[in-house]
Order: sequence, then structure tokens, then C-alpha cells
Amino acid sequence: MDDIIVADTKLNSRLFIGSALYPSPAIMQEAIIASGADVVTVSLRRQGVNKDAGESFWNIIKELNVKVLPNTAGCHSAKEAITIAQMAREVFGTNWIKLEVIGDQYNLQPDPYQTLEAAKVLIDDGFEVFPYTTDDLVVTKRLVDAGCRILMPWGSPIGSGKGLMNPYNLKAIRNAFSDIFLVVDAGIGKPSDAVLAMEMGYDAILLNSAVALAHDPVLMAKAFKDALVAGRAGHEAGVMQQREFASASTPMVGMPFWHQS
Amino acid sequence: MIEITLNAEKIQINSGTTLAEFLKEQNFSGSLGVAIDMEFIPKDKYEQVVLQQGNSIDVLAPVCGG
Repeated sequence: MDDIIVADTKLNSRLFIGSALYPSPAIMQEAIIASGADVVTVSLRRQGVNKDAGESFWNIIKELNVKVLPNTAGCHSAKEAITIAQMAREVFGTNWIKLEVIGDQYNLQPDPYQTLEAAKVLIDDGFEVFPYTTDDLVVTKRLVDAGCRILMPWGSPIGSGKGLMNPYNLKAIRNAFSDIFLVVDAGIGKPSDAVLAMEMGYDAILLNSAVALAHDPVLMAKAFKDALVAGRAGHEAGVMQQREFASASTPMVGMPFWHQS
Repeated sequence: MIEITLNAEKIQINSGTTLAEFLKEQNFSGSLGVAIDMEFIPKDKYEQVVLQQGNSIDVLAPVCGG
């Protein structure tokens, strides 16, 4: 199997996993370990009444010995996202940032204009930007022009579990950027969605709800781990061409009773 | 005294208070990020920044995220 290298970092898994929505911190830990993911997304929010909660959560994540990918979830402007990214770099000690600038509150669709503006500023400031974007080919081109080495087009809206809504667009992005690390982010609902992303040649997937909201998150995490291995192997093995006609696989030579009945 | 906003709540503090003094008074510690009026303030600037009337201070802590 090919090495998995993102932003000059070698990974052991094609799964980036979120840390939210689990029934308990213990199940989160167990599910992340079962998933085999070595990139985990985290965030920042205002310090609440319990001033130890943030530190407690951060210690749980640090125990997992994973690479963290802080996000700018909830931001609606480039300015907000840039400030959160700068805070995240200091708090989490990484220049990786999942850049998320929302343009529509109903379907949480990313705002391409604000995302691009923020990406330019953050790249100039030394960040490795993982931009969450739609599957619009032109937007992804502009993000690459701005210096993004990673693209994260959505499969479908965040938390919807609708899978890969527009495989044609996702394939077009893969075909356009052979040397960009591509991650299907958002909308993955079930392991077969992960298989499809891998068969298309995507480098990784990022999910959260599909595992955290499963009846058994730990078992679902394992299912995604296996799905990614199967899908990637399928991609590397080379899928056969579809045909518009049937073609027998059992040899006809030596067939008894040929033309006798 | 001056009035500032901490995480969307208005509070009164002594004028001339630095950000470092303020965070200590409010019992903040650990892994935190701070912004004043939506501008990130690096840790090594906490001692130098003197809070001003009307400042809006956001103190953020790690949370789960997707």
C-alpha cells in the first residue's frame, strides 16, 4: 500500500476523526483507538463556569498520542477564522488548521469567498491550511493557487450522513489535482461511503457523526478502519472497466451438450 | 474603574490592569487562548497589554470538535 503523507507528515491511517458528540469521554477514547486514526479534530470555545473542563478534555486527547487538527467551526467571516486559527496554534501547538467558514446556517455550506480570503492570510502566516470547501472545482483551483496543499471537499452537509452526493464533482477534483492531498470531509454516513471515496482515489476521509452517533461507536470506528483499507486496496488494484453487455467468466470450450438440445 | 466585557459578560475592573493581572484575578489557568476585540493576543504579550475601557475579551479553552 502507498505511504500516507500529508503536509510532510507520514500517517498510518486514512481516517481523520472528530472528537465531538460521543456518549462519553471514555467511549470517545475507545472509538478513536479502534478507528486507528492518527489525526483528531478539536476546537476552541469560550471558557465556561467549569474552568477545568478545557484542560481535562485536552489531557484526554494528549493521552491518545495523536496529531491534532484544530478547526475554526462556527466562524462566519475570514476575520473570525483567522483569529481562532491563531489562538488554536498557540493552545494546541500546531500550525495545522481545518479552515471552516460557514456561509449558510441551514446547510452549513462553506463560504468560498471568506474561506479563500482566510486561506491566503493564514498561509502567509505559516499555517498548513486544510480548507473545508464545497465540491466546486473552480473554488478548489483558487485554493490551490493560494497555496493549499490539502483540499477537503464535502461529501454532503455536515452531520447529514447523506454520503457522497455528487461523485462526478468529487472525481473531477481528483482528476484535476494528482499531487494534492484530498480529504472527503463531512456527510460521510456509513462505511460504504468511505469505500467509495477510497475507490475514487481520495487520500483520506474526515468524519465525526458517523462514528459518534452510531449505536455502537467503537464497532463503527472499526468498521470504517476496515472500509478504508478495503477501498484503498481496491483503488490501487485497479477497478475493471464496466461493460454494457454480459461476458461469461466460465470457459465455453469443452461445454457438453453444445447445440444438442 | 473601567468596564470591559469578558466572554460576553460586562464586568468592572481597576483601570491600568494588565491582561496578565486580569487573567490571574479571574482564576484563569492552563491551556487558554485570548483575543481582545477579535485580535489574537500571544501569551508573551500578556504582561504588556493594559486593558482599556470597552475592551471585549474572549478567553477560549479546548473543546471537542468535528
